[in-house]
Amino acid sequence: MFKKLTTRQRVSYIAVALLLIAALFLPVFTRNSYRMYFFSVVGAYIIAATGLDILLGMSGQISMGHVAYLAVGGYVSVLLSSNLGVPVLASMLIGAFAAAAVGALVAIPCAKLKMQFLVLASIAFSQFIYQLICQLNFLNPYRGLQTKPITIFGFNLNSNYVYTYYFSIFLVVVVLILRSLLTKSKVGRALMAVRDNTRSADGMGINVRAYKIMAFAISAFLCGFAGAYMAHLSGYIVSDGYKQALSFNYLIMVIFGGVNSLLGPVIGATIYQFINELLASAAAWRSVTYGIVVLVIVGFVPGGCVSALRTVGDKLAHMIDGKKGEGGAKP
Amino acid sequence: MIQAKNVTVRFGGVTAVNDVSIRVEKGKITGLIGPNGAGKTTLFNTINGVQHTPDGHVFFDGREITNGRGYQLCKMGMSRTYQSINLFLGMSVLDNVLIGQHCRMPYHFLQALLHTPKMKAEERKARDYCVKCLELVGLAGKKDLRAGQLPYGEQRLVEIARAMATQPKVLLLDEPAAGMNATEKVTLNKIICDIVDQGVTVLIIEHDMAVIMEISDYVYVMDDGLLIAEGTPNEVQNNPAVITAYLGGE
Repeated sequence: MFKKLTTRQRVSYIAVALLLIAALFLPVFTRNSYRMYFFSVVGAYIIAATGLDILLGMSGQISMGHVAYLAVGGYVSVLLSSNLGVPVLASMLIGAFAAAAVGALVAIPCAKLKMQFLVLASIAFSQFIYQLICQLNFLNPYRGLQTKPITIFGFNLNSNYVYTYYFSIFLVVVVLILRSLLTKSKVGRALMAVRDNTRSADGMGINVRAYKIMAFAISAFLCGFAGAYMAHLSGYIVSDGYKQALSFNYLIMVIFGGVNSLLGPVIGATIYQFINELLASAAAWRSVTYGIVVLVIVGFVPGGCVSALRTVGDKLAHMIDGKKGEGGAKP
Repeated sequence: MIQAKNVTVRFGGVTAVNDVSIRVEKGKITGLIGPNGAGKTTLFNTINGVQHTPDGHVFFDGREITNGRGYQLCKMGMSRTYQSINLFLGMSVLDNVLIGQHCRMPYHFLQALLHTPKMKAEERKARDYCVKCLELVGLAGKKDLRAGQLPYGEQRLVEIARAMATQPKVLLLDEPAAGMNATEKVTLNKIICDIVDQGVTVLIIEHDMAVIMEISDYVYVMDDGLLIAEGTPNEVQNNPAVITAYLGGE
């Protein structure tokens, strides 16, 4: 299997493997509870950013209100687990499905809209969800609700953030594998066809509207799941976390990392979280920093960090191939 | 195979297609010619469901498909190419053609997500079929290139391969020879004849009289939204109304 690959592909696989190993061994070096929590949250961000990238990068639609789906996933999961006694993992999945359903409902009228109108509609929708949460007193919107810890067969993951850290890695790996499988199927191809050329996608037998709605649903599913995960990870859920403006953060992650790529959201979310942390004491400077970084990325590396890494990978593969060639020439 | 009856399309005050009726016979090559702005593509779009017509009827295989949806017609067996290139330029040539197989791959979302054995078998079958379609147009060797890297003439051929990948009963070609040089046009004619030999009916719009007169079995001529002549290529060529339309009257 490995022998069949080109040098370029091997370089990519080895890089990803190294990244994964580094992630797996991180707790050997630091078991500091706050840092482990910090990286667990990165996992949730990666899942949400992947969700947004499926909409933005794969299907070519935009949303500036994705935080609404995190809210739906979060609140549904919290209500089910706290009030009805649904086990937390199951409630997180139900929350994700609820978000997917809401995403599909939003997409039914919105999938027709062109870019700028879609932006407006998504902002309006996100505002609507935020205001709705603020009006529902049983959600205790301003003080927040306590959430139940994540348990697997009675084992409390929240008891030590090293556990949630590994759970995050597990979730991210599963999500990325499923995404790459989806990309390599007729569904992934159809989504990209819709993005590239709506007219001929229709002519070639693709139900454009259905696929646009499907992209919204998948995207909302992942965001809903991430929202539920975050709610149970942090131990509380409060309306402040779902202001429409926070949707920009996820867009920033996707653009940092690089659109329509598997690793883009991973890199984007990690860098985002680091900047966030470094500037924790200078909150006013955060937005300025993001603004500058986004401008630099859009201006100089439109493909995001991933495209820069790809160039490095290309050069590396080229060097390795070159050395092999020299080696072969010597008898 | 296809029958358009009394089709009229108006854009504001302009009547692009005015009460036109045509028939496309099964297994034949039917040509549709006319000067620029004659309404050929609009008629095409009406048949294909891209353009809606307030009055008029379109039948396909005995079923009424007036104002149908593009993707459904494709599933029923009607496929087309475009006057301007409408490929997915960022994707590989093979992936472009695989889009054509989309509606012939009967597996659902979960199977796509999990790459089940059934899904893998369907994908393999589709891939083989698409390579065959690319062989038909002589581009199998370039299947892994990005579609945008190909020269213009070859991009048109990829469009034909993609349309053939939908396993159509009838293929609508909108000016396939546009932008091709003389050698490429000869290849194109051969490809169209191969397609008809496979049992596919062809309706072709063309500017280039040489191409259409050589391969068509029956020709319709449009000018200014009206059907001004029809018949075998020979009859049409000697029709005074056609000569006037093409060379300018008086």
